Amino acid sequence: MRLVNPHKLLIVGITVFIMSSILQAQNKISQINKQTNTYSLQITILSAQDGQSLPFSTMHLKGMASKISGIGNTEGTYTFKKVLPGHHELEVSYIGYQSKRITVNMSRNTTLKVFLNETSTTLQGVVVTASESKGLTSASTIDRRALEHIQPSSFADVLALLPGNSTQTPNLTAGNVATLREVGISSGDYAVTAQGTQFVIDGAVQQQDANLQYVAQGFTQQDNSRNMVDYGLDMRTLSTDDIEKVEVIRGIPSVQYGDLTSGVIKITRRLEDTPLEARLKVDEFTKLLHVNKGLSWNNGQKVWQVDVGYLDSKADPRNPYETYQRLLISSRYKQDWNWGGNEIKWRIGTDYRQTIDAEKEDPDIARQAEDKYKSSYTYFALNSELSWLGKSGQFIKEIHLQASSSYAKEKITRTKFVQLDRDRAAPIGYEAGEHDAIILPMSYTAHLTVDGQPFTSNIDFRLRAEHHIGQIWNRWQLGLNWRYSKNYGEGQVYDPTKPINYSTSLRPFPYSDTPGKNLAAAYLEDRIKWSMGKSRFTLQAGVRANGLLNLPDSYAMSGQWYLDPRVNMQWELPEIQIAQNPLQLDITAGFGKMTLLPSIHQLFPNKQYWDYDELNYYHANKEYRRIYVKTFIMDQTPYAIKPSTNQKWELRLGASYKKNNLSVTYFKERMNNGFRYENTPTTLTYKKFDQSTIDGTTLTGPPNLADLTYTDKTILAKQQVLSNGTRVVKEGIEFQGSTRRIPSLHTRITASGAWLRSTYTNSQSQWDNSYQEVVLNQTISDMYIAHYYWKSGYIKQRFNTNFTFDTYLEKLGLIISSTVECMWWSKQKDIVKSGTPYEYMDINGEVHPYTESSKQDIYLTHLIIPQSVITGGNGKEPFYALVNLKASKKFGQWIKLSLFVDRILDYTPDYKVGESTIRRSANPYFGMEIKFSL
Amino acid sequence: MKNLRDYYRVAKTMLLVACVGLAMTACSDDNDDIIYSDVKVEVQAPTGISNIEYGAMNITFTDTATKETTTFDFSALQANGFQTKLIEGLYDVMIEGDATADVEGASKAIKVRGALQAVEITTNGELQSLSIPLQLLDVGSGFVFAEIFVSGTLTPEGNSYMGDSYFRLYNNSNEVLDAQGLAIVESAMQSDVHNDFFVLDQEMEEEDIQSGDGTPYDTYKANYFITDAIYMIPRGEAVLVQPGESILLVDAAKDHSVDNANSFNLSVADYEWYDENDRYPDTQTEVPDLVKLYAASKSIWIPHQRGIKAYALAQIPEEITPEQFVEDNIVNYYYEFIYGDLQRMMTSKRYEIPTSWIQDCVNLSNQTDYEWNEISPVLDKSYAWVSDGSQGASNKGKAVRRKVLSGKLLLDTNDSANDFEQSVEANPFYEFHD
Repeated sequence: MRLVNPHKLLIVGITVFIMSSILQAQNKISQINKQTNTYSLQITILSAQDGQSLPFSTMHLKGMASKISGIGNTEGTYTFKKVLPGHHELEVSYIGYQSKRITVNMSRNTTLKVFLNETSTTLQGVVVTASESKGLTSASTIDRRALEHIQPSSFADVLALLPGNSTQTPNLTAGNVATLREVGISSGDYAVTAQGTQFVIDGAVQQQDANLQYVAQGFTQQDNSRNMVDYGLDMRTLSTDDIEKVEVIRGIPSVQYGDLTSGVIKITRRLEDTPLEARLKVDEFTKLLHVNKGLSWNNGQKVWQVDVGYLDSKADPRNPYETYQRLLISSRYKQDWNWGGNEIKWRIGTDYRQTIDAEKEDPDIARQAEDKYKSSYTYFALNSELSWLGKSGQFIKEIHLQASSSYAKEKITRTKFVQLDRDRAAPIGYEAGEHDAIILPMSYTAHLTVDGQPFTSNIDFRLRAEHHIGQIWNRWQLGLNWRYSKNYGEGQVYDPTKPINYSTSLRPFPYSDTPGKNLAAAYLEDRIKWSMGKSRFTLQAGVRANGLLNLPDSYAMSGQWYLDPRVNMQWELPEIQIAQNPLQLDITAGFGKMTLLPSIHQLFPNKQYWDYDELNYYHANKEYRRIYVKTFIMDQTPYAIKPSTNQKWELRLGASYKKNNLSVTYFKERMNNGFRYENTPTTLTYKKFDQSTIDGTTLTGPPNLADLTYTDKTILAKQQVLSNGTRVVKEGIEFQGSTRRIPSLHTRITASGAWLRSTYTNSQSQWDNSYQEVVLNQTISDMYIAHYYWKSGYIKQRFNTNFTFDTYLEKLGLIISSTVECMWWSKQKDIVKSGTPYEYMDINGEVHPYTESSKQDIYLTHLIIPQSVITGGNGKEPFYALVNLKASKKFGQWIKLSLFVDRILDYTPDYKVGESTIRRSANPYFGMEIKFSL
Repeated sequence: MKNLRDYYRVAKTMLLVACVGLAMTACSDDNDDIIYSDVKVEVQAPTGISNIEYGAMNITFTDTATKETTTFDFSALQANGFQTKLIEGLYDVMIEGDATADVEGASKAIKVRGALQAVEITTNGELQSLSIPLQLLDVGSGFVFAEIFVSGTLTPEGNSYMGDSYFRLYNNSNEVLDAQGLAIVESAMQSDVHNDFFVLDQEMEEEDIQSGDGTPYDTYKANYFITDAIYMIPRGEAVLVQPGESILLVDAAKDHSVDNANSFNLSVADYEWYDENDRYPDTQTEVPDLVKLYAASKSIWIPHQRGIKAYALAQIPEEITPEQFVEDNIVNYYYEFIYGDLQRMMTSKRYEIPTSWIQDCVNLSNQTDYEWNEISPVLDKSYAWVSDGSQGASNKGKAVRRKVLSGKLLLDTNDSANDFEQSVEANPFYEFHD
């Protein structure tokens, strides 16, 4: 008999061993559980640009088997508790900023600060189109890489990137006007929308109110196209080579900005350490050279940059006689230092610009070789900003003081050989009343100089404070602003006995006698942010008060303050997870009012001098001729004028998924009181001497007035006085979508476009006497002036989309972009007007209704001005598409070569309008540039 | 089987060749036959006469595209039942010739003329009927335009100079005539712009005008001449002009050669037209002024410088005062501007004179710009020209001058291309005869 089976023993042994191991292991595990620590992870999210905390940012912490999410508080901080040791992945995101992923190794309680970069500067490395802002209002950002890629000759080329716009052939021999969100119109009655587009360069508002530079007599078509008075800034004067970033605020800007209607174009110029760079560009009409260099000291605490640029452009390369030249020198310096723990930033910039518009007759073909035109503009500006930044946790976040000033010397000189065919009186009278006139010679050479010296200055003080009330983050902004502009020039200078235009109503008058525009403003704004659940809300409300100081009491605007309330809000929806990636949605809305105060030219117009001949006696002997005139001084000062105001609404939906973005904005802007000049009736009385009694054969000198009888004559005349009679309604839907850079193709696709509808019309009934007829020797327009209800103007619409495919091959240093600009359709409708007046005024100033019997009167019947009436459809232009190509390539470290061909391909089919065929064509426009970085 | 195979091979090849040959013959040109359309021409006798018998008359069809003319003898046409054949196209039709008729009781030899413009002949197989109204052609006696100068001059420095336009009126008869009440009348329509005008019988609101309302202008112009400027020789004293003598009507009656060596001394003119404007005055000389009945422009009236309007010399009846004239003779007309689905009624208000008042009429145009005859072809069948149509200096200082028929009589057949010397150096004192 065996006592123990060895196999069984083995089995038991093994089992015991296994079981005890298991038990032991369990013990061990429980021991581990009892002994293992968890840690806390405190994350604070800050902006890399200005170090400010970003409240309510989203954070995800991914471990091996877990994922925890949290939203930061008002200070941008969130603490993850009980984090297991080991590696975790932290992902943070904040709207408007580039998300970041960091690996965190937890071995103890950790505090981390994460800095995020603003989206526009880093998105996928290179952006060559305009980016749609994710901020509180619709704005487009164009950075330096995009500017370099489009190879602009002047700033006007940059605005082509905004949704709704398309590339235009640059024209540097006419003024370049900046308008936003509208189809555009060339009538001066609607210049207020361009006057209301404000340019801000490095924080300094570019004031245009003291521009009086125009040729008041002897207009040629070119004079008219260069006249920028009350049209805002002439974009030809801005170079693009020193720009770091352009932000075009198309929507409702903060109350920090005032005295505008359309929007703000903010330019930030480069100020960084750069190698010596030189850019040479040549295209069909223009040659451009730009050189710049930036230096820095003390680890970037002191930076200095200098830019020098020269441009030469011709209207037609075959014609060397119509040219535009521009020279600029700009220097900027910044310094940062620490003072008692607070940062102080100081920035100062100086600018010098010189432009020349010249036109001369070709001596080989000109009838008068001496005819010439030259317009030159020399400009100096100084701009300085000082900021004191509060430390983290301090209530006062920023105190900012800005002072800027500019002075320009503008000169137009014009020479013209004048030949008359009738005796004309020289425009010399300065006093009202009757006097003898000097009879102009039949031919003479006339010279005119227009000397303008606009001076502007701007002082801005701003205080920013931040705090939070519970979980609501709050930022206050308070500001005071003072702007002054005045023209110190000599004005129109010419010899009145040899005027360019004998019929001028103006007299030489120094601009320095015109008062300046003295604008003061104060603003207060509050921005609050809070989160509810996974949503975040931002609300910004502000009000700005604008007023003109020192305006005489006779003006309705004197002592008045005009308020601009503006509200913007944004709701960032909770992230929706789709296929492991978040879809971010936001809805933004805004409403605001913008006020534009009139310029110097509008507030203080020159007096006009109207000469009426009481006697115009002609005799074969020059000595016996006599012209006796009565001069009326017409004061066209618009005492009743009010500022132009624009009310804007907008609603935007934005979406972002895996670095693909889409935004759609609906906007509506309405202005009913825009500036325009309107006819105002006035009566004039003068004598008419009876010439028939003069016997020319017995004269020994000019006829004696005492020998003549006269009758009193009264006529109606109309004056052009500034009024608030323009109505502009801008409406539209703008959209912009861009994909991420598709890795396999290295290509990004951007689609941007808009449907725009712009209505241009008048908002008040109009006086007019433009009927020309003379019946029975009675000039009807002298006898009656009629009042019409008619609305004149246009409704213009267009719908376009630009598709850009840009490919960035980093290893080759090559960027190629092709843009297909599709204009789906555009149309224009004239607003119907009835030419029949509802009342009329006679020479006694009495107003009568216009009735059926008026139509039978031999004179009154002509008060009906035949108008063309639309019956049926709108003029519609169908689809066309243009393709632009741009490419730039780096060669080595120092040279970059770029080329662009606009309209390299086009699809512009002919279309039929009834019986006629309209042919369309497009001409390519191209250029090349080379850039050296040494 | 070798032989048979060869046989087949040859047969196949021949068949192939035959097929290709047939195929090629199938591609022959279409027979280019000219398609004619049957056209029947009818004439309507002039109003106010009776018992008309047509004599030697010609009817001319001018293809507006190719400018080719086809002329038919009218009596031959008459024998054929007024029926003929024409190639399809757009035609101007002109018929003129001699006839006899009873005028105011007595039988007289008369000249008649009629025209239709822009008639479309189609080839849809149907017979087309054209009806041409004839009018009495009044030629010869009375005052005529001997010379018209409207293009202005250039100064020696090359600048444009205005104020020296003139019309030279001439007594083209054998008796002394009185010029008072005679008016220069400029046409409102231009020969270089052809619109489809319609004349309304009363003023209408633009919205109320329907397409096709009113009388078509082509019919209307047979009886009325629409004008944009009328200046009349004042009534009161007789203005007697001997046979073969002239009176000169000018813009500014001064010696222009003092200030412009290329211009003339017009201080000896008989009348000037003066436009009162106190802001930008006209020159008032001692030469008597014409009576200004109407002008469509409140500035100084300058006859259209490009020479594309017609000028009529009208005798305004004595019993009609200027006030009466402007009250009764107002006319409203419009044309329809169509551009795709866009329609506009372009209305105008002017004055008119009956063609019965017109003593003489001259149409001005030029080869490059001519589009249509804006007045009745009875008044002037063609046009006189001063330039080849370019706006350059070539037409400055040039006028049109009537040819001499014989002795003191000037040629007047209401056909300016025939009656005038075209584009001559302007000379207001040209001697037509000794």
